[in-house]
Amino acid sequence: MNSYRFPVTGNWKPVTLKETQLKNRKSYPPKLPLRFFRWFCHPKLRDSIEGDLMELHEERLIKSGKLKADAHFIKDVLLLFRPGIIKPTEGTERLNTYGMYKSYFKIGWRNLLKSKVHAFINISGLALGIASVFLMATYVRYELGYDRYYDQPENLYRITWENESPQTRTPHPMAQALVADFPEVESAVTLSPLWAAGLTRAIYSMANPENDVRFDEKNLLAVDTTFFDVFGFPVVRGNARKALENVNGILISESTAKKYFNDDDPIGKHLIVYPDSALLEVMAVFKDVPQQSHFHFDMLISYVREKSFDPDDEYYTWADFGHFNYVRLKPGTDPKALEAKLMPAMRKYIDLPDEYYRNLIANNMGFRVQPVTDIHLKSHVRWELETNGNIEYVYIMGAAALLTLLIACINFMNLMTAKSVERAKEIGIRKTMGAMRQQLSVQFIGESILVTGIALVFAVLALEVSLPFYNSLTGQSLSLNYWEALPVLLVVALVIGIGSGIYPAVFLSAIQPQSILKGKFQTSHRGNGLRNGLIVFQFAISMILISGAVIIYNQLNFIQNKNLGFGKEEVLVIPMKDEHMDRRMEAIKNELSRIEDVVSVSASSNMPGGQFNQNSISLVEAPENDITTSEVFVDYDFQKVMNLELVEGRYFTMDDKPSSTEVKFVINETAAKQLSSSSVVGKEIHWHAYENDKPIVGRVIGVVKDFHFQSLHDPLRPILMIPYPAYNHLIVKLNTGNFENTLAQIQNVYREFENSFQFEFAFLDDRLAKQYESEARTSIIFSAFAFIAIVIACFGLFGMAMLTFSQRMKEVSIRKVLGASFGGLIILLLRDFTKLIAFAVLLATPLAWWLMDRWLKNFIYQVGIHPVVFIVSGLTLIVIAWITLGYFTLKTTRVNPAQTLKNE
Amino acid sequence: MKKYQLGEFEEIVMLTIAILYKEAYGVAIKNEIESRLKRNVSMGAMHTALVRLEDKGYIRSHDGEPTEERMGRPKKYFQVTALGKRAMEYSRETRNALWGAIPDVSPNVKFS
Repeated sequence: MNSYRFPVTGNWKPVTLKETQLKNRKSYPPKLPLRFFRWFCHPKLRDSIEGDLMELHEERLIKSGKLKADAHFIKDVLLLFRPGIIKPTEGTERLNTYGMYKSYFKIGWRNLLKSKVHAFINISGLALGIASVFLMATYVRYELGYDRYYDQPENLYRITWENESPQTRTPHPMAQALVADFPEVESAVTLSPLWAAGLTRAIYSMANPENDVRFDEKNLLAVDTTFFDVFGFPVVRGNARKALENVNGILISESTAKKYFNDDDPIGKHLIVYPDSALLEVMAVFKDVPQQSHFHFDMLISYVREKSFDPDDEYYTWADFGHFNYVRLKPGTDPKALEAKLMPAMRKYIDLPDEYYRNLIANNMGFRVQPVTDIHLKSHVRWELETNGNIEYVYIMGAAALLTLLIACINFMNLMTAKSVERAKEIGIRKTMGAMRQQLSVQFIGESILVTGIALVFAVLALEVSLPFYNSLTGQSLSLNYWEALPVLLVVALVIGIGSGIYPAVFLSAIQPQSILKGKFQTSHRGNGLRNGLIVFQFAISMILISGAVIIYNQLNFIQNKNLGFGKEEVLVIPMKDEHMDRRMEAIKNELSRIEDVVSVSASSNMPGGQFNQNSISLVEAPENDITTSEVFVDYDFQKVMNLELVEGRYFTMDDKPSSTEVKFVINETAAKQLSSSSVVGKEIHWHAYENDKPIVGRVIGVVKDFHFQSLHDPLRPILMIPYPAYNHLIVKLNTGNFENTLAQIQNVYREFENSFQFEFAFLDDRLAKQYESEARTSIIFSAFAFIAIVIACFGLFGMAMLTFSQRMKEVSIRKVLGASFGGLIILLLRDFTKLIAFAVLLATPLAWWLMDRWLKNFIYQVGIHPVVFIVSGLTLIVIAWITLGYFTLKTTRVNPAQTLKNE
Repeated sequence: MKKYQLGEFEEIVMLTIAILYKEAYGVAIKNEIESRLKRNVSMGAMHTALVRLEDKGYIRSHDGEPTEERMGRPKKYFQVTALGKRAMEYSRETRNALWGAIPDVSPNVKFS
């Protein structure tokens, strides 16, 4: 130990010697290991350890010679190459900056804890905002994700027909003709649901003959053999093509197969179809159609079978626009170019009068080629296979959610800049210590990212809680895949963090240190203008949302309670699935009428709220005035059951049955007006139904007052009532009484006449409400957003009041000393914010008016926008704001001047 | 969790620092351990232990004068801190307590 001690010269400077200086020594350690050591060693340790190495080397040199000393030196260096000594790979320079970030994080965190109320406002607001946006993004994604399931969905198109009343249905031979005439059409298919009377979807009762497992089937389509070529639906078992070429073949979905045959192999098994007891063989099984599809089917049969019943039926010719045609185009085909060629090419098949054809071309109408992926959100023509969604609601929901998030971001910006007094000292000191403006900006943006990050965690929790709630509220089935959403969530948090942090960062980092440290920076008047502007903006958005919610609710209420021209209460609608029941109507009515609470009984082919078949009618004396009419087959008690008002003539009686020699009609007022300006009762009309060249002649015996047989999205249209027994619905008007008991009796009677189908029923008002499902959903969601937006905006107001009122403590104290009244002080404090909100209300009203007016244009029957809506919404907003401000107003006005002024 | 984290080698290093008192720097510590305990101490092991002890707050260091044999590199002197002293005492006490707990009935227990 310490055996060798050189005298300390004292003139050595504590600096590292240069390589040249090293060379001056007689013996120095081997260079390479030393260099290696200097390279890997942590700079903090380098000099002292190097010194130790040198000293040891020197010692050994004297003791045991250069060779051994060098060897030991190398060994020591190698043994020093270990984690505690090696410098970090990121480099030691970065170490310092990392420390700065750590400090930013720590200061940010401490600031959050210091002002818990503001932290709560910011985090909860942002969490609600992010959760709303994500909920809506999930919804929007779900809606936009329709019909992507098929093979190359972008090449799939549907042919539609556009004239003065556009529709989805086109002639059956068209699919074949398109493939034959146009090389760019790769394949095409015709499909159609099977119809019962009045173009209502037919319902079949099917059973597995082996075990008599029986179900009602509604989702059955007849398709061409090319169906799977066009759509590319996956077939699980069997040969789909062969199945579709077979007259007695049927293709079923996987779940249907399970329903009837459990886990047995369904191929080769049979299904009996009631009521006519046809036997079909299951020849292929396809995968279930996913929810996100514009049409669904559980079973497919071939057109080959349908045509075999009546091959010459006009239904299968060019004359009947009654089928759905889908085409698959070759990749890269321009659908618009094909569309332009369609009309001239199809003209040789379809018998269109010259003038009508020229008219269509002039108005740019005719056949249209519609992308299948657009159908769900953008197609709203007659005879959609299923009720479609609406792109407009997707926009509305998305906008409402984004606005909610915006309000939350504004809260953050406002509170952050308003708090600048509190942060000013920190900024001043940081700047004096040499912080650059850029660094301060990074710090504040970092803080806002921190807040957003915390908010994100809560947002995910909120989403998790609200999603099932949302689903049960709206009847949708949204789900969120977190692993998929995680990167998006993080990016969103980052964007929101930077977006809402950038203004405070620029604002705060611009503060001049000398003014702060001299004590001149006392109030936060700077940026007041913008802050007020942002508050106005927040409340303007709140105003738009609140008045929008009220108007949507009003409109919904209006259409649900509007007098439709018929009685919809206590009317029970029972589907008549077996057509054999039609002929026994009298007996059914007799039996049902005996039940105590049954007031009257009738039947019809279609019911209000459903779809109606259309043909045209014209007066025999004026055949050129041909009007398109909806039609319905009714029983002679229809008017009584539905409580329709008769305007002129009479309604059908029991004797007006089709057995009599003359056909009789009842029409509505609109039809009567369109047919002739004078009375049409007693006049003969042509009904151009079924056989184009030979119209059915009948006499109008009565005119009923207009009633809304279609949804209120549509205007009143002509309707023709025909007393013919082709019914789909049994209509029973009830008395309020013991419904359970009555229903049981009705079911018993029904069972006497029909025993193969399931007994179903619905109240007419429930059926009608279904037409407005998307409006009802919009109303609920929109109200929820309005509520959330107002809550967040009020949070922000609360936070602002907390800051500004505390800065006005002294002012209030002095006023109190000078004798200001309690009421006067309250007015003083509330005045500024009230002005802002009132201004926001005024600003938002015309915009809200315009927006809601646009939305209402979707409806033929509008509730109308009453100014009261805006007055009430505006006042509500102001009152809510006052309540929010109330706590701090009272706290400030009740301040004890002796306390606040004693330090002056 | 242990109250004080102190490994066997670390304890030896600390004790040596305490022995050397004002003269405790790298080479001195190494030589002291080697001569007293008759065991080889590598520079790497020792400096790692020193870094770790300093991180734990048991010792602190200050730079000393540069000398010729060190070619101008400063010596880094180490000193045991109050916390370090407590850690050493704790470690000694636990050991003593364990020794004391060995029952008298078996005085000839062999510790090999």
